[in-house]
Amino acid sequence: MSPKARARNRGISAVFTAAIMALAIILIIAAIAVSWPMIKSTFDKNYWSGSMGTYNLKFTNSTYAYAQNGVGGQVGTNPTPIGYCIAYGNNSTNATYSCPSNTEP
Amino acid sequence: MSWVIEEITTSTIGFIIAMVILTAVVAGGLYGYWVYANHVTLQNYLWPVAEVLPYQGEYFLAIVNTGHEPFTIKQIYLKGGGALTPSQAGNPGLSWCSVSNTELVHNQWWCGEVNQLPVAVMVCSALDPQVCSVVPVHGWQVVTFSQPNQPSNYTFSLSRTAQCPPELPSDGDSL
Repeated sequence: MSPKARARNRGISAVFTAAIMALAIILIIAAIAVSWPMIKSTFDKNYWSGSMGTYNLKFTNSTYAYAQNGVGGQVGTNPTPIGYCIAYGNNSTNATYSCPSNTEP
Repeated sequence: MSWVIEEITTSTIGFIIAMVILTAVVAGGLYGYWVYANHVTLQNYLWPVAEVLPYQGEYFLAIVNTGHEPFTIKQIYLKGGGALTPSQAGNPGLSWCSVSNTELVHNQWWCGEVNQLPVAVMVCSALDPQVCSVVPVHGWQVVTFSQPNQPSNYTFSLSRTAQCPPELPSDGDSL
């Protein structure tokens, strides 16, 4: 290989290295930028799952109940939402309710 | 012929071809990852809650959107193995919940009556119908009261006992 050809190859090799490094940096920055909303949404979903896992109703009597976030509501004879729970009763001795913290039926 | 290939692969043209291929692969990979990340992000913000109550000899199913991403209900999976669409469920005739299969926005409810126990529902994002999520249905509890309009012994026995004078019989005795 002539000295001229060797010099040309060294030049290409240096440019090649620079191009690879530039691509790698762009790739890393783009991957972080694309991943961040996904990572944040995963944290948000975990937070939501945790808050739903403890969401329950507290009955003051057979016709009134409070949900986890302080929302109160009458328990009627038809299913009614109280916060994110639903409940109905017979206006006397029992009430049936379902909340996000309940397990599968 | 081989010298032509060698000339292309080792010369400046070859270098440019290599750079173009590399850039295309990186761009393609990033685009695929971007599509995947968008899909997962939309899926992570689907926050439906489904609850069931036994009611009038059937099952009353209610679904609420607790998040801010609107969604539509695609399928209701039953314990017997079957699946229903929301329009196949009965209309309970309540004013606080929608019975049509329009999209549910934040804090909107859908409700329907089904004759088999529902165990899971599939909801799909209204922003991208390809993004779906299957969530379990939450079951019910029955709370009983010793007398009408009185607090439940079971739920409040500790706090009530603490507030009562010791000489009064506790409600637990009447059970």
